[in-house]
Amino acid sequence: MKTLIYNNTVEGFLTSIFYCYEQDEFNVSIKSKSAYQTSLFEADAVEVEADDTKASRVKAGIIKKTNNNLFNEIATVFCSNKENKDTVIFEYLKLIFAFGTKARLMLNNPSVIAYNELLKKVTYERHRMIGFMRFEETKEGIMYAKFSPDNNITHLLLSHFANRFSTENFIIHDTKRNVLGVYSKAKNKFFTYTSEEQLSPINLSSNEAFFQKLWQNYYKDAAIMERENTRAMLGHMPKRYHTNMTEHKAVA
Amino acid sequence: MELEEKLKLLAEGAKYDVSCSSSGSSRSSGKTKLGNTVEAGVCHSFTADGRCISLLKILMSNACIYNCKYCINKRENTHKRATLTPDELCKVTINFYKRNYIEGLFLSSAIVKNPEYTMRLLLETIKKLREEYDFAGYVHLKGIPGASQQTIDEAAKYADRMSFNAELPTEDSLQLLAPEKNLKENLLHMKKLNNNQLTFSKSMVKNNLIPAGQSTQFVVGATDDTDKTLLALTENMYNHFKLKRVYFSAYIPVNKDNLLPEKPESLVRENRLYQADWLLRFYGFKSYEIVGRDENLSLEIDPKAMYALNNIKNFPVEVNTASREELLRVPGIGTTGAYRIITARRFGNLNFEDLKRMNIVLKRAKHFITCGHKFMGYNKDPETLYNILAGQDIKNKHQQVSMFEKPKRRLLLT
Repeated sequence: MKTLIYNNTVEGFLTSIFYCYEQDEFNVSIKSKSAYQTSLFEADAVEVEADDTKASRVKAGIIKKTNNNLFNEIATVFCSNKENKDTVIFEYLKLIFAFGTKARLMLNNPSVIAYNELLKKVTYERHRMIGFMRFEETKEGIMYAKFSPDNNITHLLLSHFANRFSTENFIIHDTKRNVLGVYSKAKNKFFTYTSEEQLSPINLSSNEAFFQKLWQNYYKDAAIMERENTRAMLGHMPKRYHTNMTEHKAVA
Repeated sequence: MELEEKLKLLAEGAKYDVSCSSSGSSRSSGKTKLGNTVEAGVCHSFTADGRCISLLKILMSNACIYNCKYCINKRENTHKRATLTPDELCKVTINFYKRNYIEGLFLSSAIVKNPEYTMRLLLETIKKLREEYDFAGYVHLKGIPGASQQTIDEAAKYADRMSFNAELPTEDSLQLLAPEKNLKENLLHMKKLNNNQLTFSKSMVKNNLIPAGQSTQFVVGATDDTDKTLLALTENMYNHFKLKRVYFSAYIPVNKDNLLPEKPESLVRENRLYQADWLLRFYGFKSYEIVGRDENLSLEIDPKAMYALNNIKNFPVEVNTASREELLRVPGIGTTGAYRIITARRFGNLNFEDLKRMNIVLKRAKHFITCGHKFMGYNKDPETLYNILAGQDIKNKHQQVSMFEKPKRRLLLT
């Protein structure tokens, strides 16, 4: 089976799909460069160069065949950290191109199931992070939050926080990928970028320690200890998210 | 008293209220206000008991003039009393919210001086939070029974949700344990608020009154009121007052009193009541179908399975032709499962493999369905199935319950 390698971007991925339809070759696996390193020994690999025109033609094709929402949904699945996401989306798109939106309802089709599972993982983590994100106030009055999600969801979270905290300047920082989401209240705009260098250390405002302590206390006081159930707690709020959450930090 | 200590006392006093949901209201913040609300609600943290923290759940004051026997804040108790000022409360709320600790505020209070005084205190606070502190996040406000309807209505304008706690389902029980409260007064408040909601939403479509509706709460197991009584009242409140949620709180002994049980109520009973509550709200069940024969729900198997066993003549249903209503009555098939089946079967007949792939759990369902007229269940004998299902029930296996008491278990006969 042929393997198509692209440059990790959405454009590159869409160009690979263009390639398949252009060459009439559908029995391929599509992989991003970063994932491909682990499978260097596959025989038949072709590197596809990202091409904006071809990518936008595929995008237009998807939207024409379905609608804008589906394209956004695919972009969401593309944020997944699963190595097979490219193949999963491609298999799903094949169905969409063959049957139109009707394919979305074929809930017992393995390709549709695989796609929906990835979609659920990404949107579920986004929903969780909307709750678990913890901001700290810096000396300059900027709200700063570190987080390290499984999936690359910074830009998916930004719109939510920009709406909620439209009266604040804030930064959300994916420390795993070094992606920053920034919102400026004066400009009422938000954007993401990948930082090459480490951020200089953050100086916290004088209020910060007081409210962190207050919250840590509240977190403890709200529990009914006669009904302790750590298993349920960890099920809802897995350990890997605790690192950046104020209530799980050592009390200052 | 320092703010830190006050907060500790008042959070302790509020934690036994179960409701913490922040759902049912969707509002954008605009450019000048802090916060918005999200239709589905958001959980921000989970406490060591596994419950979600969505709202800052706190009492305005714990200095109560009432003496409800089961309540931690009753007049006779000698623990420290504290009252927050409206400004203190607003500041904590805003600062917690800005750091994304919470989705909003759940403000309740002990009865200070008298009901009207207390309700006005809550009104003053929430008004301040909305108007001076420009807070647009979620607010759940407790209604104080016995306050004037005028004050209650005014407060409702600032809240996303309001709730009057019924506490106990009969006047007799209330008379016994909470003599200053009465059920009729409570229900009347709910009814009036519901009426106002209807007229208000007609006149001001854009800015409707308590968009997330009303809820209420029962203490379960402090008296010998049965599940039948509880569920019948619950059903009536859903039908007549358009309540959004009814919460059940298994009784926990915090006070000693010879009118109160010594032991806490089992969490399984609480869980079964919630399962029954779901059947009322989302599955089209009537309360008499769930607790028709017995006074109480079975602790061993869930209410839907019990219904199916009592009505075994209606089963098994054929997955490929059954209506949505019929599918929803199958133990183990929920609203999602029913949706998946109905959607997928438009493209061809489904077999058991399809159901498994669609993540429909067959463990219980297989005894009550056929798939292409194939039956995979054990048999159709209610007694045998009862034992199989009771042995499978996760509640009987992993004893979250065992902290309090050992439920009776029937032996697996098969």
